[in-house]
Amino acid sequence: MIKHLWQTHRIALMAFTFALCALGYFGFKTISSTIYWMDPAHQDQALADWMTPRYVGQSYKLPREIVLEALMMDPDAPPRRISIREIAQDNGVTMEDLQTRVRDAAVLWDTMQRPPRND
Amino acid sequence: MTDLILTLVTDYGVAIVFCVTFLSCLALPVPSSLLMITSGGFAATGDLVLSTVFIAAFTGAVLGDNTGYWIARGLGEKLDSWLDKHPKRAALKSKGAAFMHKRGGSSVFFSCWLVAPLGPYINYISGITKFTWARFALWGILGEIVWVGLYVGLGYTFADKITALSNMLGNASGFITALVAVIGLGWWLMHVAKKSRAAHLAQDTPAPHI
Repeated sequence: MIKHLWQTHRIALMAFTFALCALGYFGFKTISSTIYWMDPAHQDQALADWMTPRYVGQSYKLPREIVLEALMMDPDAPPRRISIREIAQDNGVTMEDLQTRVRDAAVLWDTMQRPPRND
Repeated sequence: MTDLILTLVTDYGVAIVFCVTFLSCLALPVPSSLLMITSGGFAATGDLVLSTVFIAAFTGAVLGDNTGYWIARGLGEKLDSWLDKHPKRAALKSKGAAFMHKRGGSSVFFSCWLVAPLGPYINYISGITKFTWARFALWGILGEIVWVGLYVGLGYTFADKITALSNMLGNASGFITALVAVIGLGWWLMHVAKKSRAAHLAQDTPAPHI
């Protein structure tokens, strides 16, 4: 049957084989990415050019003042949509510097939130 | 490319959402799904307004679909004589038109969101086969409401997990599209094989003597 189809409907058979490979590939990727992202260790998003201060706050679950301080912004200025890339350029720092500042702020905020130990 | 487009959204807002969904419906390789998820996330943080994001993405998508349809329809009229010249091409054209007449509405609807990678091509096929525009537009609008609502809504709900979400949805969308292609092509190939086997059997069996 396959030999006959190869002789008469070669393109359709090739397309079918390609679709079958794509099915396997995306099936594997869907399962592996789901498993990867289910792990809490992989859920923190690294800072990216396009993020806004409010987005960073949401992603790292930090209050506004903490995010603004970590991103070297004036807390009294009216809120506006600005990208992390622009903030880095304005302050003459790299994205890595900002990433370190945000991570440090998140660690500090986390420690502040924990109830004091009574021992 | 992806980072650049997302930064453009941060800089210029929903106008970019409109442009990207418009272009993606014409088969241009722009990350429209990721962009809608991110814009939904921006709506959750207060950087964008949810209703404006929805309207921009929806309008862009519907205008993109219809632009693709009319481009193909214009082209289809020019191609008509070329298609009719060769019997194989003419048969393919009439088969396509018959399929669209029978299942055009559902094809347009599902290609907008469930098998979104096929969407722009269904728009072009609809135009070339001169599928009724009113039916195309209506099913397209319904499909885009689902597509935009789903992606913007998911971005809004899971704003803090956008990278993970877009990764999983991108792979799932590829999986569903491949599944539809495997089922469709598999069914058609089986049908063709059965038909040719029946023809062979009929040839081999001697005609009864009367």
